[in-house]
Amino acid sequence: MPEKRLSLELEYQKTREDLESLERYIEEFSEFLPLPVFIVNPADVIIGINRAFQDLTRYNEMEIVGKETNFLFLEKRKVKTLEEEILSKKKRIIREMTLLTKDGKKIPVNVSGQFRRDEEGNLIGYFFALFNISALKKFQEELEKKVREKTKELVGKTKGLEASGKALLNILEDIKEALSKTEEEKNKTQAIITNFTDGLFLFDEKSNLLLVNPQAEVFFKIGAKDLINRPILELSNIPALASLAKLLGPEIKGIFRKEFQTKEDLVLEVSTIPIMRKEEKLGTLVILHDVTREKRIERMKTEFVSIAAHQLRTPLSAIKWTLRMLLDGDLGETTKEQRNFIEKTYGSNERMITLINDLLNVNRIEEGRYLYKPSRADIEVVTQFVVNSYKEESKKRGIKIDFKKPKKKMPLVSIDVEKMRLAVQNILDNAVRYTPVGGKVTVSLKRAKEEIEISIKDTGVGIPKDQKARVFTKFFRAANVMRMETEGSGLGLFIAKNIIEAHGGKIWFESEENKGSTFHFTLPIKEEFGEFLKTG
Amino acid sequence: MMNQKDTSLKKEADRLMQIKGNSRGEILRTHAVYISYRKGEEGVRLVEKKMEELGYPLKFKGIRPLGWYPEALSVLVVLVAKEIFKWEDSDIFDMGNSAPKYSFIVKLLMKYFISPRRCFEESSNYWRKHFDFGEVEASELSEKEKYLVVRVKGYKFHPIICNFHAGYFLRIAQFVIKSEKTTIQETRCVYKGDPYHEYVIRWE
Repeated sequence: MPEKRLSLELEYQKTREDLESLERYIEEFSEFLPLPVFIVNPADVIIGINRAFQDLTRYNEMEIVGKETNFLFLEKRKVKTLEEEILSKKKRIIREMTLLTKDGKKIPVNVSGQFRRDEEGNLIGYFFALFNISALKKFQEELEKKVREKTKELVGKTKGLEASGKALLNILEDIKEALSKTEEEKNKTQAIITNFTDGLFLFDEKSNLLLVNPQAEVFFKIGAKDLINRPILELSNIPALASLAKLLGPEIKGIFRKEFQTKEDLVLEVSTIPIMRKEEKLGTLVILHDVTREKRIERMKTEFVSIAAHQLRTPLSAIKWTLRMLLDGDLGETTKEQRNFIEKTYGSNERMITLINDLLNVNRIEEGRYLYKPSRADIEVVTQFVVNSYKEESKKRGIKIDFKKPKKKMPLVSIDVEKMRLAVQNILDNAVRYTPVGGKVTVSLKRAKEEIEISIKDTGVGIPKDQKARVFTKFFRAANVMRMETEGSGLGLFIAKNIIEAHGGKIWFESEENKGSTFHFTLPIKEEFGEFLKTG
Repeated sequence: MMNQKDTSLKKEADRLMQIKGNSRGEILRTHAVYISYRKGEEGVRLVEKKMEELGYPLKFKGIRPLGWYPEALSVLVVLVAKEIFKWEDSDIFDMGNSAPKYSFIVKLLMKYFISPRRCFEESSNYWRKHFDFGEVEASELSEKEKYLVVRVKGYKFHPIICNFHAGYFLRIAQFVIKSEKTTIQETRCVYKGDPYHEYVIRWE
């Protein structure tokens, strides 16, 4: 019996040691296991935890063992549901829940559960493992956030693209419309060009011919097809266009209403217009206006005026001398009343003669045969002569006339003395005539480098601002002077300008209404007359 | 030199050591866990030192959970801890109530704690796993009226353990009874002249 007892004792001791080894093993394993684990009994009470569980939840055994599982989770009923599910499906189930830690954190975890059974198959509880998925959730949330942001961004971009698409469509429609309008405009322009009564040549910026309209083809009897894209220099080799090409020059100079006779029965007025886009010159349009009829009418009118003037001048001269004889008493005594009438008639006749002379001068000017007595003369002498002739008249009008001569002797100039006198006279006449009593007229001469400048300054009524541009045109009389004196042909300054320009000079003025005017003109100091004089 | 209190404790220790009866080393180990939880490792060392002073040296680390040790040692550890840490009865109750939470034997026997009835039925068996003397008698269980009665017979070491056992039994009940309020009351006690200890556990 003692041997049997000893044997049992040894067996018991061995079993106890095995069990204790097993306990140590379980304890070590539990300590090592990185997965948080807790054991629950069927009453849903936590009866065991491992080290990782303590690390995650911050609860130690003392604090958590004995608590119900719902103490651990935000979703109070979910563990129970999980347990029921484990039992019904008889397999490990994983559910996502929110772990409530001792330090108040809420950690998203995946709870994996499995039931425990004893040897007889009775349920004795559950094992649960916790997978901390906070990093995963955070990543997932960030991913979702990024997806949301990207989605939003894409939606925005899509909207932007849609808007851009719509805008593009609108732009396309606008472009189509604009193209259609442009086409329409082009057709209109083409129609205008085609039907334009003026001849048109369009050159590009390099003086290559781009366009010739039908009227230009008619004018020059040319075919546009053969000429397009050819430079102007080549056009000068074509007989029909040679004279025009010469007039325009190789770079197509600026021309305004220059007359140009291509043949006997065709006179064209040539103007060039630069085609600009901002500062860039795109080309030049040459407009050829047929003025043949106007020229013919003008010539007929000139001829008529010339004939009429000549026809009128002879009887007017006869009347003049007859009246002179009457006034001088050569034809007998006249009463005071008769003399008065004769004087008035004589004055009217004089004005008529002056008008006729002016008209004849204008005619000659327009016919280009005005200057015909060129000589080397002293302009100071010419001017002095005219000033002297107005001494009496100015005195009569109560106007002071002053001639400021230069200190040095002026060089001689090539002029038609008679015409130059007329030019100075016409300017001085206006100054005297339209300067009120007490006014002053100053004539001065000065030498510039290559020219002599003559200035006639008055303290007269001046020229209205809005009428200044027309001062040198035929028959122009300013409104203010017409109110002062009804007499006057309006030809004086036109004649003066033509005379001065025929001498190669320039004429201009400054004027302020009610303050006075100053007319200046220059004459070149050179041996020869200008073009006008040579052909005169 | 021992003071009067120490002398009294020494006498009590010597008295206890005269009482026969062993319990599993796991009970001593759970004492160490609780002291460590409340007072840290230093607390554990203080208890060990006191035990040595009393003439009953003890190293908790060397305790084998399934080994048999005099129950008097376990009772003396509780007394020493109470003495050193000035613990009240409630602390001793808590000590007993906490012990099943980290007991290896409890984990091994957890299969019994699946329902109040099973637990009730297995209670005497459970006692025998821990002690080689005395017994627990499952006296009454009324799941309807929500109470059960257990009696501890043949256990008479020191009245401090009445509180410890009350806490311990309550915890076992709390493992299986789902109730917000579960209470325990010692209705009979050998130190009050009763033949056994009787505990009534009630729940709502």
